[in-house]
Amino acid sequence: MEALFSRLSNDFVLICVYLVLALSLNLINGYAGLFSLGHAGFWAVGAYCGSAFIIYSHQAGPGIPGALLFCGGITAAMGGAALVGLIVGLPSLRLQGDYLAIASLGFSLIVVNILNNLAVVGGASSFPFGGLVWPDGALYDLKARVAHNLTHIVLGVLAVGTCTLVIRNIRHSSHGRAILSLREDEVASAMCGVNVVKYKLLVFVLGAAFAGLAGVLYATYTTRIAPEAFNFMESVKILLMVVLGGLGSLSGTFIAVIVLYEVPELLRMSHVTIAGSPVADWWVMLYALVLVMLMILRPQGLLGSKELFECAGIRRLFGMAGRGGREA
Amino acid sequence: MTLLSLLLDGLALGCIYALIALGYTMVYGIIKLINFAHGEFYMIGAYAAFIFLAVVRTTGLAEPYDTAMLLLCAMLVAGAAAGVLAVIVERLAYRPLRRASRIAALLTALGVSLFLQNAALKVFSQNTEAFRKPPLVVDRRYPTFEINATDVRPGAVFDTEVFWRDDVGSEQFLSPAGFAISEEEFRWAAEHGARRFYRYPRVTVRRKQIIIWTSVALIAVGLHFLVRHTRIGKAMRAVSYDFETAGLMGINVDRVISFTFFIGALLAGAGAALVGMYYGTIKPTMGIMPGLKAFVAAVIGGIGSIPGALLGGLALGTAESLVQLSPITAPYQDAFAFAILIVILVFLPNGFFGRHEREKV
Amino acid sequence: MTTGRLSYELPAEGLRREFALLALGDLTIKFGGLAALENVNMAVYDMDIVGLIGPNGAGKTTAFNIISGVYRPTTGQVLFQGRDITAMRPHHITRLGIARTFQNIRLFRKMSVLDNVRVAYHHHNRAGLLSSIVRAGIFRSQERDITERAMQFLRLFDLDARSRDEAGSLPYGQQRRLEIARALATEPRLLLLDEPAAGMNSAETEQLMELISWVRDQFHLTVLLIEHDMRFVMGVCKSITVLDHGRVIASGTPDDVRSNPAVIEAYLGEAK
Repeated sequence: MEALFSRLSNDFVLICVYLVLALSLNLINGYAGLFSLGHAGFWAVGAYCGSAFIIYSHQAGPGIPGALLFCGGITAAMGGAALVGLIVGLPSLRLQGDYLAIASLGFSLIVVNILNNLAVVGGASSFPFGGLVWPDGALYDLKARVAHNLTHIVLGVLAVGTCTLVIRNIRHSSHGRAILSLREDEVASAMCGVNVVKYKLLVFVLGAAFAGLAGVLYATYTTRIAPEAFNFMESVKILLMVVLGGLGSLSGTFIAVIVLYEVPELLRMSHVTIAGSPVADWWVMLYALVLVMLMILRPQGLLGSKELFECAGIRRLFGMAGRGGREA
Repeated sequence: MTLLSLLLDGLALGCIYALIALGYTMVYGIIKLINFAHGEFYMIGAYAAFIFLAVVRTTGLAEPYDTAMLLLCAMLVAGAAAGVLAVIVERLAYRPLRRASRIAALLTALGVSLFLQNAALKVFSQNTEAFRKPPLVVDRRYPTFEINATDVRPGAVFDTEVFWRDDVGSEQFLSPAGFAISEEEFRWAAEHGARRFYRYPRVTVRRKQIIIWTSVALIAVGLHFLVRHTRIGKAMRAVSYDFETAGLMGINVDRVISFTFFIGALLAGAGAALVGMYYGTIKPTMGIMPGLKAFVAAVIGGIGSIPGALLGGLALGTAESLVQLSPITAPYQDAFAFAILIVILVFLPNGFFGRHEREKV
Repeated sequence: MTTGRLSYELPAEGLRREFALLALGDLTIKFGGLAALENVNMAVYDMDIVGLIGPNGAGKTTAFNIISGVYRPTTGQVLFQGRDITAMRPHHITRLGIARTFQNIRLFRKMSVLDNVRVAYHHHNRAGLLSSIVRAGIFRSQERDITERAMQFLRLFDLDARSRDEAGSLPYGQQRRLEIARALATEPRLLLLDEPAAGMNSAETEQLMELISWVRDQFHLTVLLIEHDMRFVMGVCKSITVLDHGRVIASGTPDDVRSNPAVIEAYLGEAK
């Protein structure tokens, strides 16, 4: 019972983290068409800014309540990541397509390289702070752990909800249409009076800020972070979630994140072995294979740029009339 | 380490970057694809050379195990293995996507890269393997200066490192620069038949560096000949200029693309064999960083340009070695390379030698 | 010839200079040493329909690209309503009142027909990002406004029935019309049309000629258009400027231009 709760809540919180990451990458990649391969970089910046804020302000004034620390951490994480997003957004003004992808990949590698050598945040070893927000050893205590998990479930739901709502509302506004037009044709979009520079930077800043939010959530939940956790593979994983769900489809992202997170977890639990090694060991290869097959067979992802309830099949299933496509 | 010896090291590393960058640049020039899997072709090449040398050594096929021929064979085997893999990958994964968006193609390349990396982790050991290089590839340094045997006595101080050759003929270290030769060391050397004493100048060239430089120079000349003076080279240039028209002119575009992949991977594989000998170790993840760095090199030179890739590789290799000069900057070697990448992409997107392209409005 | 900023003489019509809606002064642009346009002077007056013609590669589209801010000229300047817009970014120029269409139609193909027009309304939107996120009252009223006006445009161009379809799924003629509708939705003073009749049959061309005159009157616009179809140009334009190899070789009324020996040579020379 206790193990089940801890497993379920663990999955839930981490799915929330990945959801916020994938949704924010969908804003950058799916809506604005800016191909970013460095989302884990923003995630790392958020995690480290948030953690550093919490740890150092706790050291400065041990009496500050945890909730306040956490709010400050969120602000620091989102602010720091947004600032970095602004810097990374600058090359996007000059670069397109695969060139931008490479530049953002380079950025995320720079972030990991710097974090690995930055002594104030622990360098290559992990940067722990669980013991600060929760008293030392408290997490070994069942009650405290349940409280910790429950808090993070609530926080996760709030984060995912905010992120979805913000991105969805922007999408269905004049600003959202301007962002979508960037993806379609940048020159034509400028000719329609869209300030290309402003919207590209806005998208990067907003996407990075949400990745930062995911970072602080991840850091306080796992209570220790190391640069290795934010490597290139993570960027690919987040990208795969977005691409599988469909570039520009929020409901598709939800499905893809849950599938891509849960399948390897279930495989790990199943104790199935292939060629003598546990099936989880083969997962990355499977991941890569899924990516290649997806690109060859269905490059637009599961739902394309539509939302779940805009797909004809789903509408028929629920007996809804009319053609797909929403107005507002 | 002095500046000059760092530069020499950087130049050797730069040669390897150049070899890998050539493959990136040729493939990009022809189908506008950033082939992420290129670093993995390189890694497979290193393992092919490793297995080849192990087989040769255990079966005693090549005696003596110490010829330039063996070295060449190892490079060829590595190149061929990487080349065949590249052709297969192109056929299975990239060809169906030739008309798809460039983003889809890029993601596929990423997928292939991850797949090969993890397949290698499964097939080979996850650990670093010691690459048993042929004895021809030694650390022997040039030039050497003989020292008068009478000058070498206990208590003598030399401003450079002193070596001697023992009765078997192998090199032994006697004393570091600026230290007095101890009685003990001297007696031990004398017991082992030390007759010739010599020292190296502060800056030396290692034999393995010379091997890398000459191989890369020869490969570059060969590639230039292939691209400029052969039929297939002409076809490659035609396809890279305009893929559709080249097809209409009767060029078998698919074959030219396969060939380009093969040659590009061949160069990377040969480079991997050289790297195995230079550093003495290989591992399944060895392709990631050199692959990415070589891509940076290709961008510096102007992606699509063959001389650009060569010069970009050399430039990046030496620039990286300069970062090593100070212990403060040394850990940030990778960040430095990728910062160069971003700066070049933003301010000089066509690199130093790339073709200038303007978007048609 | 030096570039005397602001002191250039416009051919034959120097006196009307200050009334010109759009004036190009000594415009030169070089791509890698090769001049695509050289010392181009030209003036477009309020409510005119002006044709820009010339053989292929004469630099007509390049001139459009400079006017709309996609390229920056090497030397020379562009004045719009007496204002120097040479160094301005495209979206800024659009907001000042210049809209354009493209030679190869550039719609937002994956967006709906309605959204294509609504994007062009973007700069009239007063609802900020924050009020859009929290769906404030101003957001709702603005959205209603924008949608209503966009639908009006679609109705004018007989596209309202397909407002929800993807723009890329429209037939060619409707795509051309949608592109013009989108350009008009930015509420321009000057409309640049790059080969609007390309790929149309004679009946469609006829319709388009009427449409352009009608649009001009309806929206009090000035139109500058590039076209290869001489019947179209002669029929709809009040004045014509001819470019060849990046230089203006003639300008005047359709009759003047038709009989100009330099123009005849440029066109016949091309046919050789």
